[in-house]
Amino acid sequence: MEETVPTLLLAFRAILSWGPTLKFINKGMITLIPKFGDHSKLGNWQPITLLGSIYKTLAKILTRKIQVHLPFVIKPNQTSFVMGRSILDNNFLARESLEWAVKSGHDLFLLLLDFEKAFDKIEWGFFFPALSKLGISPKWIKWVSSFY
Amino acid sequence: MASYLFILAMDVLGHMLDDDTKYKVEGLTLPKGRCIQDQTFVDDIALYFKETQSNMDKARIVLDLFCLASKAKINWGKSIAIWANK
Repeated sequence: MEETVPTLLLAFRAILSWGPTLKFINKGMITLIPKFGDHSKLGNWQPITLLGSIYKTLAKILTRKIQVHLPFVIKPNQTSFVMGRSILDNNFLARESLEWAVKSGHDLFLLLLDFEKAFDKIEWGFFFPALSKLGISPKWIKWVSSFY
Repeated sequence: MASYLFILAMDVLGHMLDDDTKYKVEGLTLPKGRCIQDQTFVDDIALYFKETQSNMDKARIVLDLFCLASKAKINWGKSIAIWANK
């Protein structure tokens, strides 16, 4: 502990001040781990990406920092990943609002959208300025943008 | 971390749909006065709105803008539209 904390602090400070030039900290190594069975068969090996501890520690710290604020930041219409919210709300809301629209004669148009490969397609250049508009602290954004 | 970043990005779309005065889509007003425009789970979005041409146009503009800015792409072939009273 006494040895790792100063080292990590040093690394984190370097990341913050050097930013994008230290992008290599999120580089991973892909390797294979053997599963049960015949190891001459490729199917019995599992690929895994190993990330560095500096990256993992920093990512965990940043995740925990943002986690507690999410219920106040993320609009209530998003029900995933936010503590205290449930996908069931979406189901009930969809069913009951449809039912209500039919009963009361309101005209309702419901559009269910499907995004293609959403996770890896985010354009970060658009995203980081948008984050500060949502009220996320500039420091947090700076940290995260240093490795994305 | 990636999941939080993702829902933050989707939150931007949510704000575009109901905060932007120019393109604010007229949603469904529920009995108690609450108005819903959209409901999201990760990247699955359900849009609720009054079926008028102007609403459709606005929704389309907002979605196109979001896709243009974020590089996200909507798969229209896998998207579903439901008319409640037709």
